[in-house]
Amino acid sequence: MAVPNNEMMPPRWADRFLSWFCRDELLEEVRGDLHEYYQIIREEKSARSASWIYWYHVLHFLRPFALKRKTQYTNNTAMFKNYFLITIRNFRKHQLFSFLNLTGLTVGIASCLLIFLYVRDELSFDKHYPNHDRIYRVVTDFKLGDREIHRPMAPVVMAEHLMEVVPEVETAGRLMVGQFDTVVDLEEDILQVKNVTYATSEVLDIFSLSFISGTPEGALDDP
Amino acid sequence: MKGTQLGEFEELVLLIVGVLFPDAYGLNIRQEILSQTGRKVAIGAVHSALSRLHDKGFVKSELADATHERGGRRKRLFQITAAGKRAMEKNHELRNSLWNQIPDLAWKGLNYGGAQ
Repeated sequence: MAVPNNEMMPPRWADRFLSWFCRDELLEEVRGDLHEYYQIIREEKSARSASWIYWYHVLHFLRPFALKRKTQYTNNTAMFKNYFLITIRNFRKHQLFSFLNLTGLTVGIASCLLIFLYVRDELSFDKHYPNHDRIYRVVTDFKLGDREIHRPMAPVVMAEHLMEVVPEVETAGRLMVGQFDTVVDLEEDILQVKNVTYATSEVLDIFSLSFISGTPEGALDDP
Repeated sequence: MKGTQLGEFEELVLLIVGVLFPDAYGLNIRQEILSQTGRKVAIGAVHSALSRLHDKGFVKSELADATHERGGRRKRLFQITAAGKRAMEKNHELRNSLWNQIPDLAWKGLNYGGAQ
């Protein structure tokens, strides 16, 4: 047979792709088959559709059996295999010790994770106050007989007293949040308001509250 | 060693390898499958099946001498081994034995798509 002319050659890129992924031992026979097949379809189809068909068959060789083996067995594999084997043998040999060690490690890691989660949760809320990292709440823990009681409150004088004796305290205010209902006497109207919070004027400054109307300066000066 | 079961497509390929003796190779097998069963399979599928059959020891292969036909590339010719023949026989017998065990009653009332 004469040397095939260029027109009968299959798409070059498909061939190049094939020799890139296909194993070298298989390449000769696979390529031979594909080229022979190309000659057959080329006799009855246009170059364009023949090359589509050629590509289809090339892509169908993307199967595990035909791919190049990228990872070869090296000493590394054997080494790690050996490490694991020795680990398991040691566990078997020193069962009590391994048990204690593993339990310790497990408990340690678990506690660390739990502490991390707890702290992250504690630091996660009330972030919308600009000074959130400098605001503290004074609470009361006390014992009544056998009962331990924790309350989010403090004596009335605490705020002023803290400001006097603890220099680190920049400002302190009092706040009473609760389901209080009260009657507000505006000049033109008398309203009954629910869920009122009582606070001293410092609170506005501490939480950097913004006003819908009016200004923060001197807002609560004249009760 | 892999399992020595013969899959459906593998069995077909193995049979065709026998039919085409002594000139069975990838493309040839593919064309024969197409003409005998009408199944359009990719050449890669045939090669894949042949490689599996080779791993199971059901076929042996050797490279033929180079010819000018395929740009000087050699073909890999396949032949059925004794183990391959045994696997085919086993399948054949199993199929026949099961076929014979189906009672005639099971065929009663079958409708082949014709008029009732």
